[in-house]
Amino acid sequence: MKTMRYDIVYIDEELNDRNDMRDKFKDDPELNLTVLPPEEDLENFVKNLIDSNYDALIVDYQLMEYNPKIKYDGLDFLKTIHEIKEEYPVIILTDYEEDARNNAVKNDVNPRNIFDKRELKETEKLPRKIKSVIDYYKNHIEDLKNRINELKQKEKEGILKSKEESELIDKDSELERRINKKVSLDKTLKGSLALKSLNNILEETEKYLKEISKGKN
Amino acid sequence: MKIPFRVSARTARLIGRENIANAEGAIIEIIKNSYDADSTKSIILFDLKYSEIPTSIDKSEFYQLPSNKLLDKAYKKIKEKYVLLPKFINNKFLLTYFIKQNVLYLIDNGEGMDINTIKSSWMTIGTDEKLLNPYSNRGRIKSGEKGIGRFALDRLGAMCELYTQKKLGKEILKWEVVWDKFEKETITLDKIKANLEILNNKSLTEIIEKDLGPELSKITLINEIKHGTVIKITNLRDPWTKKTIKNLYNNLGVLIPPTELGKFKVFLYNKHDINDFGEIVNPLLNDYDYKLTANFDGNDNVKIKITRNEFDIELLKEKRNVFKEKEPMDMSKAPYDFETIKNKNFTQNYELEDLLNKNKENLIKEDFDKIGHLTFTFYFLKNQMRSFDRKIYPYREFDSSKRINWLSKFAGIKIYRDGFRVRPYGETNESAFDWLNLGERVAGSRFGPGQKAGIQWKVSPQQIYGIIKLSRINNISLIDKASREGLQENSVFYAFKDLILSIINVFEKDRHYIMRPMHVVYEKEHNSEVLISRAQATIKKDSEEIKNIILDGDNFEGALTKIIDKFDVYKDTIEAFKSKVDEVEDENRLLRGLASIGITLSTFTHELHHIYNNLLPSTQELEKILNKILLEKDNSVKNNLIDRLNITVKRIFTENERVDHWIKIALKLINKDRRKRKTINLGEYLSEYKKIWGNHLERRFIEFNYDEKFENIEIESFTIDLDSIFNNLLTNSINAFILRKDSSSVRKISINFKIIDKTLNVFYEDSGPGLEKFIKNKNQIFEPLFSTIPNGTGLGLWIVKLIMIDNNGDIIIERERPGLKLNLQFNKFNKI
Repeated sequence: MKTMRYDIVYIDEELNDRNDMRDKFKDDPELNLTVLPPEEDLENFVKNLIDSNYDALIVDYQLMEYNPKIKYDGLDFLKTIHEIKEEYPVIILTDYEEDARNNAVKNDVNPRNIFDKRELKETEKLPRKIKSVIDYYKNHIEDLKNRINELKQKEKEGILKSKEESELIDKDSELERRINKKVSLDKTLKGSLALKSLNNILEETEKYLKEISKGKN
Repeated sequence: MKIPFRVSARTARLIGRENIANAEGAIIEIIKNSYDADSTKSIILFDLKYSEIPTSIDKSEFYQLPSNKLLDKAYKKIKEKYVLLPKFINNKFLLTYFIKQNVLYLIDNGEGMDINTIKSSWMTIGTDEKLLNPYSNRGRIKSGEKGIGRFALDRLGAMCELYTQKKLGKEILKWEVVWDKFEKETITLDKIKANLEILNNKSLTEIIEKDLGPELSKITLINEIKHGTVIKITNLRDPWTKKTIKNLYNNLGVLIPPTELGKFKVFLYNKHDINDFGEIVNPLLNDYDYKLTANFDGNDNVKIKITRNEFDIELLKEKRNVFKEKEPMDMSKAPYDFETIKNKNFTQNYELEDLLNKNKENLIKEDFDKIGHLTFTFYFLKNQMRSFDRKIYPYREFDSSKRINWLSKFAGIKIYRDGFRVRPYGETNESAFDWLNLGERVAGSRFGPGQKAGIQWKVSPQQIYGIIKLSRINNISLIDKASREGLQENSVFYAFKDLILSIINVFEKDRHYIMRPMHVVYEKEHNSEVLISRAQATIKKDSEEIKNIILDGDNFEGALTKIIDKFDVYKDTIEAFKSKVDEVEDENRLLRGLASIGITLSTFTHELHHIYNNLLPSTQELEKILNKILLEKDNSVKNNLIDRLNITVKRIFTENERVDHWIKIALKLINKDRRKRKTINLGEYLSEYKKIWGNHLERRFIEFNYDEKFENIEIESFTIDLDSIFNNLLTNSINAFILRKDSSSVRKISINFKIIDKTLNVFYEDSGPGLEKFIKNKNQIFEPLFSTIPNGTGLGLWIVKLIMIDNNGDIIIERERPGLKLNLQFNKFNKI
């Protein structure tokens, strides 16, 4: 059986904890871990991380205590990531789960991916948790894509019902937000008319692009 | 070839002398011998011819003095007298010469010795005769040990004559030794000879009478002595004076436990003033507050008899309500009821386990089993009583100065073995006085026995006198140190100490049980509201009356007395308030301190969780790696594992270091010394403070600086108060640094001061973002429960404000933002 390999990154301001984590995943055949200290410029840091295409980002909740230059915590980090890629797998680890969860709720963040460090360490749950978060995310995107294609096919065939059309718009928007929220189109622009002409433009463009590449060859 | 060891006489003498600490010890050693010889009396008699240089000496007396060049120079014959020349008045050598003319007699009516005993026991150094035959003929357990008694004689004087007559024996033996013969370096012990003479047709009394004269012999009862031993020591080594003999007399007083008094009496006399001293009597203890007699059967049971003698029964009778109280003990039932207190005595049996308040598992039974049967009698005498106290507790009246005087001499828990003191336990003015560390217990509990937390009340070592009776037969495991100064501190000795302390605790608890209800009743009857309204009414009435008295003007003296009487009433009321206020303040201080520690700790929850999260898993990891290494055969894998091992060990080390820092902080902050009012040098305080927190601040890149000139500033306060202040301020700064995202990247705390108009202004500032902008009224931060951080208690600055006001000062905000700057103002301080 072919083993999936996941690329993940762990961010913590404490060297000991980074080493610790690196050590922990050393022998894991499926998880390929990179450890990083937090960087001062959060926007840039997040952009680079997204560009590097990791399967998941794991971040320590408290990032400021031992580094006066950092002005954000794990929750801020998560929010910044999700401003670009919604629901992107970000796991927050904390020594003080209760605090982090309370703060998440206050900041309107779903606390489901906030975990207690010790519990995970002691029980070897962490790798499984990480994998399941990534799998869930990937499967969800896969499902989205499949359904969108399905609906698009129907649209082409002219059998798309109005209920299905709104589903297509929703799903398409969701997919866009997950890939890059910042450049996603507003849902209102995706009404059947707008969508149709937009799709036509896209199809035309693709046609030209194909011809250009053909011409090149 | 076999060759014998040889002991130089000098060494033997040294060993002997080193075993006896001082002249007093030497005399005690000889009294012990008398006791072992079944004497019924032992007499110490000083022929104190000279305790100073005589200014004139009769001719006949002068000729009897041993010739001496200095003597001849110092005195000039004028008519029939020799008169001291003025320049010799303070001559030390002359003084020594005269003191050496004094004689010390040690006389007993014991069994005496015959030639055989002298040869086999007396002349054999370090004999174990007493170990082989521990009982004397009268059934006494012999108390001397190791055969060193004769060296005691050496300690007392250079020359020694000993006369002894065996019971029913016909002859008197005279034994004589000059100790200084031992000093010749080359001589071995067996070459030293003592003279032994047989004196026929003489009685012991005759010999003594020759020296003492018949009258003295009669008074001192020496003429009744038909057998026994008389030791005459001359060329004394110590400058005995009336004063030093008096000390000896006082000290011997507690040498013999009271119950032994009838069977064995010790007398001390000064030949030249026969009324000076007399029988050495154990100071009688009738005027005690509490007496406790405990009997440990050596196995599992301790029988304790308590005699309560602290309260005036007539006064107590009026306090009926006290016996309606149910807490902490039901006062209507024995042994806490009025009848029992009136009858004074009651007895209770305890099992060792209950007494020690330990589980069977925690009790090292073995050690307790080895203690052996013992009795412990213990007296409590409080040495002072405030008149106000007597309103709450119906104390018996006592003479405080007498008690203080007596206690200063005799306080302490003393150990006796077979009737003789085991020194130095319980010896006043010596380090082993408080060998049970009772003083330390007192320092750890600040409550009076009647207070709510009075169960923690501990008795002061200066207020008790106690006797523990041991014997060589029953308490084999409690053995003498080779130096004879005390017992060997083995595990049995510690169990023994535990046992004694827990018996003392029975008394301490009982006193609390009796006094707490008295306090409760008093409070009920005198609660502050009742007192205030009563005082108001009285003052109103009295002021009218005083006005009338003054206007009257007739009987001015009488009027004044009346007014003074009234002031007494006010004084008492104020005192009642004051003691209440003191109590509350004390509690407040403690609570504030503890609250501050709690607040500070919550700032470090993250770190504490971190430590908690890592410590155990790291250790488990270590175990796992070690197991793998043990089983691994492949070298490269093994090396890999060793690398991991190193990382893990390093991490455990770091974590342990952090734990270590935390423990240090905890121990420092809860130290009871910090709850005492004292002069605090702010420079020293801040330097210590910086040391305590240094590591934690450094790891967070926080710079902590204070003005070095603080070393010139002193304040009178409680260290715990300063801890509360700085811990709360520090906590706020750290929180601002690590939680506020608008905080600057430079983390700095600095403390400076400036003296303005007799006020010490201590400026505390940090480089944090300062007060949140939404705070409209900046002084809100000093209000209780005001907090701007998640999980903040909102108590920190409120506590600081309270403390500053308590210390006659205040705290004000100098700058709100950025970088909060606070001003702690102290009005009382010293500049040095």
